[in-house]
Amino acid sequence: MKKNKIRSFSDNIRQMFILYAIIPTFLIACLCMALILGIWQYTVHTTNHSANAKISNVLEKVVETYANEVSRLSKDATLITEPIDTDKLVEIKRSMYKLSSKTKYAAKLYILDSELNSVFSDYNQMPGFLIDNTCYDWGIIRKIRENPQSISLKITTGKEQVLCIGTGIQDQEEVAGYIVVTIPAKEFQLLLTQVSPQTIITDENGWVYLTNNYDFQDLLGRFVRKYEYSEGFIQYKAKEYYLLQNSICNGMLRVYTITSHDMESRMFYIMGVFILFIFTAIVIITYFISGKVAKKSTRDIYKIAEAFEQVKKGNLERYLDIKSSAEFKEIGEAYNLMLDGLKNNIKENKELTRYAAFAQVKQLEAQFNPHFLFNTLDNIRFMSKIDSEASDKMIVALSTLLRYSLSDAEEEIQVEEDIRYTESYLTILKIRFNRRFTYEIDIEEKVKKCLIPKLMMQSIIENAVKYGYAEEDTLHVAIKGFEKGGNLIFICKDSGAGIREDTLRQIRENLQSPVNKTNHHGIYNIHRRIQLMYHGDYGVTLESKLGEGTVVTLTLPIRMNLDL
Amino acid sequence: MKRKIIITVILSFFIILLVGYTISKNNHNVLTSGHQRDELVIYSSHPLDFLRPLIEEFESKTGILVTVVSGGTGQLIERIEEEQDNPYADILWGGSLSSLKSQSYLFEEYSSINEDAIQEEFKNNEGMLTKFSDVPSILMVNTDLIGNIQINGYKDLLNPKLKGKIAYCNPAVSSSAYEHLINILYAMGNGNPDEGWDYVKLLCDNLDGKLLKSSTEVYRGVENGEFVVGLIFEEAAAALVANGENIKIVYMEEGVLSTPDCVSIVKNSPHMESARTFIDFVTGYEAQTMVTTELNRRSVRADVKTPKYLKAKDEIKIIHADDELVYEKKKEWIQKFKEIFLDINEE
Repeated sequence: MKKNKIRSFSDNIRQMFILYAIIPTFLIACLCMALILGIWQYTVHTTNHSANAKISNVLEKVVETYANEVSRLSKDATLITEPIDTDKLVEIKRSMYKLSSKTKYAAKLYILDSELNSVFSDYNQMPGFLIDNTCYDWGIIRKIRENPQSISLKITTGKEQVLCIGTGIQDQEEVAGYIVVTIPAKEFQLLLTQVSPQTIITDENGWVYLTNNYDFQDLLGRFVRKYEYSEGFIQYKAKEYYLLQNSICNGMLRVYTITSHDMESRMFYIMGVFILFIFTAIVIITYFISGKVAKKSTRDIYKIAEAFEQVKKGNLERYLDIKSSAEFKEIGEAYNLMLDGLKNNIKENKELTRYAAFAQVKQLEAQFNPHFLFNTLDNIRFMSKIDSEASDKMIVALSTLLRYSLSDAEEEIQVEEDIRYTESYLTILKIRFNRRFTYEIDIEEKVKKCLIPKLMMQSIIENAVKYGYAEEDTLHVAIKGFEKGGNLIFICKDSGAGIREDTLRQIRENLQSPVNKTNHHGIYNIHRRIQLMYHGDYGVTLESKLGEGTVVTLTLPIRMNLDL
Repeated sequence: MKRKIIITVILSFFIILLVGYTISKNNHNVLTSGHQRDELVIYSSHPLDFLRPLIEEFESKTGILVTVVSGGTGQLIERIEEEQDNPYADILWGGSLSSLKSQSYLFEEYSSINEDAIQEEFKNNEGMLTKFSDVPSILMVNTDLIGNIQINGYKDLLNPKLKGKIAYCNPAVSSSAYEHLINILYAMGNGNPDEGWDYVKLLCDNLDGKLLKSSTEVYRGVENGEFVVGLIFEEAAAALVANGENIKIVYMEEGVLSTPDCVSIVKNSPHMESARTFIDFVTGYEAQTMVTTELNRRSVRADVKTPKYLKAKDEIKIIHADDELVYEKKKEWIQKFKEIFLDINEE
């Protein structure tokens, strides 16, 4: 039972730790991590997205501006049909300069006739997008020929990447010429450095126009086909990236923005493992600590429980000394006070009882037979007229007896001393009854020094005399004293009238009750006195047969020293 | 009570995990394009810089997506041989006629739409071997290191000053090296290849044990000065010359063998239609013009001019080999060369 109590207390403490401290903290930590992760992911997304948007916007605007210019110029068929005069030349050039400063990106303008010869005399070299002026079915020219009325975009992959924006110049339903604006990729290099994610700009087939990331290209310079349409968090070549793509200019160009978050991922992973590790350690440590803490607390409880056990057994000397915690200390001190209080109570009770007993005894003693006094005084008076010597003896004997009985020096007296005074009593009786009374006293040598209550003998004999004479003439009283079975036994046998059976029963019953219900005090008092003084299986027992006599047995403890 | 708490804890934990996982999953999608586009797989021994503009234009023009597998001609043919039952490649682009002819059973018959415009000697007579460009064998000389040495042809290679300074690679692996071997046999044998082996021995001796593993090593080796002269195909050297590097092209005075390289469709190609489109594309006027103007090669078409920086063919002593004989003797000659080379190096 005790073991169960300790275990469940310890478990309780453990449980409380884990339930109310560790688990909530762990959950909160996890939540925080998840939140941080979420926020970080969101940040990565928004940064990348805005970078992509920025670059896409710039690119689109530039392309649109030049496309519009190209469109505008293409409407003028005279560029081809007539040689361009100086004014027009200047105007076109000025327009280009304006666009260049407006968009902040410079471009070159080419105007070609139907034979792919340049009519815009500024450039002597073959434009980079032309192989040869016999090749119509190639590159931007091919595209323009496929859709002469709309804007075509093409990236050339020569020595350097160039974006071509072109359209056809119509002259009465026929393609009379071509107008192409080229923007070299390096114009946009600075733009790419303005955003933190890396950027790859490609055409619709993934061929790279401009990039500052070199991981995501294949050997031929195309964006890796596997991730061409991917978005979001990807893993590529064992590294973590966040990738977004955007199609612009009617899908002819694509802008990819890549954020590498390898380091952050690794950090999160390590943090996660670290937190898990710490919490596992905490749980383990708590498990052991709570066991220890519980043991320490229950030690005090156990101490208290044991102290109470001792009190139950009657040991009132077990005091508690607990210093471990304020509450337990209070309990300990209160317990000690209680113990002291209890002990005081018991002592007082004992004293009271003893006092009561003592008082009762005193009272019993006070019931020393007054009848005897009257009778004896009567006898003395009678004797004094007849036999003055005898009456003298009686007076002496009576005074001795009275003196003896009134002195309350000791309540107990040695057997041989009490017998001596009993002799006085017997003397009185002998004188009174003369030949009608005989007695004999036989005390064992070894019990002569034992202690017995004062005037006990006398009481017994008195009783025998009082009731013994009923019909008989003579009375013989035999007193024996001996040790038997560890006790001191006195037997008073008289040859008197005996006691009737029902009376005997009555007397016996009366002896058992704590209060004398009858008017017969003698035997009862003796018995009560013995019980109060000695608390045990001691007292008076009666045997009697009507007409034969009575035997009164006194059972007393053997006491040699004066101690009560 | 205890059980309830445990369940709540575990549940909330899982919910947090699940939510986080779903969110991150939503953020991660590797998509593929909605509409399927046609594809083409090309095995090519051409340099990547060479391939780039052509493939880019092809993809732009036709919308077909191209996957390129690079490698030496020998390796690629071997791979096609292995994959015969389940071909992955659609096109083999590169490799001289001589190196491919013996394995023409690996290729599909197809006559491109441009056949009429192809020069007579480069027509697709075999049926499955469309010619792509005309590749003469030449000697590539590093002008910084040549000093006073005269190199006009093969016999100049025997100059003791050039010992160990000649870049030549193994004809077993490189078709351009094999072309040179045939060239040597015919040129130095005066039209009779059997007579050319004496020269071969002398040349091997002068190689001083150095036999390179690929044609790339040959032209790189001369370019970076490791060797003074290299036996290579024209384009490699021409590109460098066009770049203004210290390289000179020498057309062997004993005779130059100019053999075409091929572009073929692999038998049972998985994308037959796209493959045919490709053959038509690379033999087209524009592609062939690009090849000559930008890529330093000679076109197989009759209507495309020789690039200005390459010597016109009529100024070179062109010799021809007996195609049948060459085809017959390929294995034997390669073996013979190997033996000669090993022999010499054991001495």
